[in-house]
Amino acid sequence: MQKYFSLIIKASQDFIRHIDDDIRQNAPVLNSFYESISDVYIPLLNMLERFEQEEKKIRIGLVLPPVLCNMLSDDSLKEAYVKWLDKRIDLGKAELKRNNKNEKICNVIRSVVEENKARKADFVNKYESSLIPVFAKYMQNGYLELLGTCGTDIFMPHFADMKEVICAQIESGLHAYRQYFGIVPEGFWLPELGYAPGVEKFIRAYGYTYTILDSRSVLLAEKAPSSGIFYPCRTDNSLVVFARNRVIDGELFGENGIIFNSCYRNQNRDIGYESPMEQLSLVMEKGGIRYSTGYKYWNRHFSDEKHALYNEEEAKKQCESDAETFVNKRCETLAKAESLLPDFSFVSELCVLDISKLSKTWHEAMFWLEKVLSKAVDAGLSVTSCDSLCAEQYNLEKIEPYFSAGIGEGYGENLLSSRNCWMMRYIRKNCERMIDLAGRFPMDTGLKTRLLNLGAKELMLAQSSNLAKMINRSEFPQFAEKRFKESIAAFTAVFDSLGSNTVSTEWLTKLEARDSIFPWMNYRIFCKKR
Amino acid sequence: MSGCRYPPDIITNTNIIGICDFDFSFFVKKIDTNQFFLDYDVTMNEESLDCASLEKLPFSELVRLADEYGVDVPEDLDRRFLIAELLELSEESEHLDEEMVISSSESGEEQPLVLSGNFNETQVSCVLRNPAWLFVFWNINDGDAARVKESPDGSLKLRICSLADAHDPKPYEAFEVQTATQSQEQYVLIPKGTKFIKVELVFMSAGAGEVLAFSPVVSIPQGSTFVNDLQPGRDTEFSPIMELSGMKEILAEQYRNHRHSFS
Repeated sequence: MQKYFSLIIKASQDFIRHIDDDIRQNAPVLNSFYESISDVYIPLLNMLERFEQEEKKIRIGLVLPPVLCNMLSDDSLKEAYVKWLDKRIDLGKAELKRNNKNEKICNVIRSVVEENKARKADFVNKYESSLIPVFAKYMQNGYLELLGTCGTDIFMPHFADMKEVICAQIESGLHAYRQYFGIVPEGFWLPELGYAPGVEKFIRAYGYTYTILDSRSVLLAEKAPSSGIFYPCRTDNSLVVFARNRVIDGELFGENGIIFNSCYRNQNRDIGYESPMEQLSLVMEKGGIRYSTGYKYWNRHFSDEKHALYNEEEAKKQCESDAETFVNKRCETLAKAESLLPDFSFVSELCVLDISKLSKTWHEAMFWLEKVLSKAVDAGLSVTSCDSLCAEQYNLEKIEPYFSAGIGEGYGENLLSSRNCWMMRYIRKNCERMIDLAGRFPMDTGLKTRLLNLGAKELMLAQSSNLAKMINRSEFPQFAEKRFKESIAAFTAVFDSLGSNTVSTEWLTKLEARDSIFPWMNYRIFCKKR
Repeated sequence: MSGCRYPPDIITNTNIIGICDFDFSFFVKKIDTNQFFLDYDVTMNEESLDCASLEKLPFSELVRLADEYGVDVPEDLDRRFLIAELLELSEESEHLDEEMVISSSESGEEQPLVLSGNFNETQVSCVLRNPAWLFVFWNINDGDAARVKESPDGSLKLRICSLADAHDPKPYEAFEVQTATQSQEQYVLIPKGTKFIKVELVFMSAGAGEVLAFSPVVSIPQGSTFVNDLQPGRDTEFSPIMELSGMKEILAEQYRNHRHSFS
């Protein structure tokens, strides 16, 4: 029996305004975006290149949200990323001087400087500053399956009663994938794995073949599938459902999770958080908010300062060992599943990684991931994506999945906490208004169309669950709150303008330039569905 | 059955700091909260403490600030969790209201953006926070607000109606929840076994109630019997494939996080 190990990598990104004064105000969040390019997207492409060179038979699922595709394609951000790398390299040189009496720390600094130089060479020379076409190339070559998702990361259970909103988000995502990759994806990524009964109708209506759910959705269904999470099942309308194995989260982030090994780099101890601001002037504005610089000299060995200096070689050895343990665990689990499901044609296990989050918590994540994939193939597992496991789509066992999510305490509670629940009244009221406007102005042109398209974009940006998450997690909460309120205020201005039949074209043009996302937007996607 | 302002995981002044994607719930306060507020007010008056100002401080300063007021800081604590904790304590100490103003990071740099949360409509809406808790929020138009204000014994209540069918005109069970003054939102515990629910916003005056608005009917997800029948120490037999799928871990987590709500 064939044993499949499927991996889906999910990247996250919120739209960051990046013209004029916004650049300075948004420096911390832009820093986080550039770090993702350096720590995730370029290493991911480099990893795929090595697999291709080695002719390893690997195919992984990847979720690149439309907002991320937009930002990775933005010329001003591409230029800014190169400048950002230069500043980091300069900071490294300054750090070498400052620490010149400590050879061990200098070794760590040199390694970071070299890494930044390598990223710059890769980005500018190898990838010609355009990562999207490279992802498309690996998709065409069969190493990647790109999953579709919504326009922004809307948490569907909170809008399950607003089908126009859900449909608009799905449709806008489809537009994005056609624009950036020229494809209509097979698989649909539910933002935050947020499932509420009924959303499968909309997903299927847009032609998607399968989606991923949290194992809670599948196992806590009134009638759980007889194959557990080791074989796909389907909903009543034949949307194929794969359940991610949430036990893997425990192996990674649980009490004795892999990522907490003491030899791994301590992501919290960055000179950006520890050094006097005078020493950080190359990358940070004096008196500004502190953020990560990438210069982190310590490991997670807290009890003994002598052993606390980060040792990259030691960390990589540990990664090898952790990857092996991880793969052995997969082999063991799939072998057990095989013995328990002798009548099935295959067994599969699905691992989902939010790589943006993982890489910020665990510096060695990408190195570990490459080892895992490589070792999985060597161990005889088929590393493939879910689209190749849907052949029996119409013969699979039917289930009615349970309301669930991959975040919060199983149901997305962190998106409706005491810190961020105030957002809900604005989002839902403006959703109602947008649906109403789309119905009232179905055939309009000119300024009204521009206004309505802007309103639709602003509403979708405000719907992003990332903003609520950031506020709840206190991760740049002032940015998230400002971003949200600006979108709501812009939408309200659109609504009022249409009501009073007056508009400031200067304001409209300025906002269109600032929120340059979704250039293909057509507000009619919010029209009531018959 | 009664409503509650907050579900157990977000009640203020609890030991757990909040909800996060990774489990950082080991970060536990060990302080006399009231004393902290008193002490902290002094510092607050000397220098405005907001998120932006805390994010400018080096980590050592944050730890010193936390130490000073008895917050136990684990070695591995993420900077943002520490800032969040300090902010939470300062917010509690100031008894901030819910006015939505963005604090400016630099004085005189930018005017705070204020959103109007009142749409001059009387409306009540609800969203499932999870299958056990409903988040209810409402608006009151100027006319209704004036009536409530002018009535000497007037108050607003939420009537939580359980329905047997989505189209039933009358509930088979209902209970009322007094709304907090000034608040326009409330978490409500859903009665066990409810399949459909709707919420009415009721103006109570002179012993009589008038329904000002009602929400659409919300369907409550019905899952496995295990979800609603959580009991400690119960050793339920599952098929080997369900065990291998992580059923026991999911139920243990469900019990740990939701035992007060789901059963």
